[in-house]
Amino acid sequence: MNLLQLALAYLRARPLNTLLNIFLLALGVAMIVVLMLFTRQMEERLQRDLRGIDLVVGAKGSPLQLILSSVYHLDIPTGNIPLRDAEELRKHPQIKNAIPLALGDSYHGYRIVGTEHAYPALYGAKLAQGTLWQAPLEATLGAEVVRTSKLKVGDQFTGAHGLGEGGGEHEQTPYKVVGILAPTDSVIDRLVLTGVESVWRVHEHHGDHDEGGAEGEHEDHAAQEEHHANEAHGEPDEEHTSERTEKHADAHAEAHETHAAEGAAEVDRAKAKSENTALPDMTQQREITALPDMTQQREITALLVQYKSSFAAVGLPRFINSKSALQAASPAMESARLYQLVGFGVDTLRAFAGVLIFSAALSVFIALTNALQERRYDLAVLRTLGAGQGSLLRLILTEGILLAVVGALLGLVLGHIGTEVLGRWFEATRHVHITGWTWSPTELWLAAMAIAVGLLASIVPAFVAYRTDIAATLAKE
Amino acid sequence: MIEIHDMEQRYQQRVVLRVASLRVPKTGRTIVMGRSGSGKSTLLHALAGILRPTSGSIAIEGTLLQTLSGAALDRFRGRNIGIVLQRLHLIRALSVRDNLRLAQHLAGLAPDEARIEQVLAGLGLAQRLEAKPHELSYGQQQRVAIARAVINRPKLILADEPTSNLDDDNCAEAIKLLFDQARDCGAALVVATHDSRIRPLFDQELVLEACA
Repeated sequence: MNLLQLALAYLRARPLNTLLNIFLLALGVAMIVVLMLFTRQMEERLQRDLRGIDLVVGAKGSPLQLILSSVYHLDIPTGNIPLRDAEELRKHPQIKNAIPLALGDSYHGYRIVGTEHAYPALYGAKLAQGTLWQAPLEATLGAEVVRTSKLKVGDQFTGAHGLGEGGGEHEQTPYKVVGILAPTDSVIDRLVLTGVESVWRVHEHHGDHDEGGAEGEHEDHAAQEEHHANEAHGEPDEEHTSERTEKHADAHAEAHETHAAEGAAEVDRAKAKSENTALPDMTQQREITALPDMTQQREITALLVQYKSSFAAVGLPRFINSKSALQAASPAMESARLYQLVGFGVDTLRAFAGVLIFSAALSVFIALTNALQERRYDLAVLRTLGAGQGSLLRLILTEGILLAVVGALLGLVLGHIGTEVLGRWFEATRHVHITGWTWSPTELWLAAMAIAVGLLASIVPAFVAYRTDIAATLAKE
Repeated sequence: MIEIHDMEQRYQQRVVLRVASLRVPKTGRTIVMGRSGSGKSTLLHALAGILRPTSGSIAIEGTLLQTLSGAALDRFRGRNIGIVLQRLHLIRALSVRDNLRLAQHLAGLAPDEARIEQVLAGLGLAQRLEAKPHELSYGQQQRVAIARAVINRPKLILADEPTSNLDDDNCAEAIKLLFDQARDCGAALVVATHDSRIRPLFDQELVLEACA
């Protein structure tokens, strides 16, 4: 029976009090661990997704929205840009590489992205099975898409209108799975990749089917953006479905009216479509530059740009923004802005966790002070049995430290479990993989801090125990 | 041998205890009597080294208590003096066995399970080793308190009002246990009490008067 065992015995003798103190401290530590693991993994993830992208060019609107929609595939796009403008921009001498993205449809909530092979290469993606898409309506799937959809190479699937689940399906134009990418732990994992021309073709078919004529994806986007705006407002499902159908129809009708005066352009577009279908060699083309005659009408959603040199950052964005239809957004700047926005919430939660830890320290202090009152005779008896003043000091400090150590350890465990549970929910709803089964060296500091808090909370009661006047205490018997 | 010479204890300039001379032989039994406030407990505390006399000297087996520093005095107390307090004050969070183990640990002695079992068997508590104090009767608790006081084979056993609130039978039994354990340890026994029933059982008597 040493002081450690005695301290444990005292803590066990007050189970409710002890558990409450441990739980309070654990809760504060767990909250900080969750925030730490979550923000670290999110930041790493966001940084990975930004890899190699110096600038994003898209339709005018919110630059943050452009980055969220084109780099992270989270938000709805700001709109489309003319392919002609994009092609012109690709020839700019300060641009080393520009990857087009055409968005508009999704499969089971995963976005279908019309792009080039350079896009998966940007993330160092490797094929797990099959090949990259070659012909229109061929698709290569990200690892996460395959994991949840169970699609295999050779399977067919149809894309749905809009960038979320629940849009009308393009049944006339099914995609064929030709390849599956190995996991990259980046945004690519949750994308369905295909050629830009596939996206155009699907929407041409969609236009034929619905309207009996060629309709550009711009109109589709108008409807989809409205659809997503509704989603964002969180309308109830039933209402949402019927309203979405109405709005979708309205958007199409409106688009028709807008384009009624563009008869000539419609004819050109139909011609372009038939040429696209008729020319087998074009279906082999991955480069959108291979469709020069179509660039007059075609649109894409965004261009991911790599500079030739960092000097381009000085003038290129300004040059692009001066063009009436285009907007250039810097992923680094917008991400920093995003961290700042999200950071406020994280800081608030962190402060709340700090308050919890402070409350735990206060609770430990109160518990030990009360225990001193209850145990003043015990302490005096310990002195009569030969315990020195230092032993009483160490006894109380040991109790405080034990509470803090157990609270900190429990907090770390709860934090990791909490992160894993939240991560699974996040994965199911946002398709972003966050795990609790990882650790950060900062956790050691956190544990040390929690233990220091316990130590601090017990210093005053320990000092009171140290100063116990045995004779005076026993005289009060 | 316990020796006290010209001991005086003052509290805020007021003399609360004065003992001119007291000698307790090695296995002697001394009773300290007096009314409430006469300084009985103060004398026991001074003998236990938990209260330093304002003047005079106390020697236990040749060791002058005033010459010992705080830590040395704590160690000396743990190894040489056993105390039975009026309200017993067993550690409620610990079992009977652990109360005795703690006494061994605080005296800086190695754990001695055989000694614990021997003492508890001698006090009729062999079956209650793992019981917590609140699971025992008052009589059993008092025996545990005696066991704790003698577990380290002290040279001096001090008992403060060990028989107050006890009926005659239990009073006789408590005193017998104290005497037996003191004899087994070869220790001197000093009992402070106002219970005159046990007066005839002691070799020596010190009657304290309240100081003016």
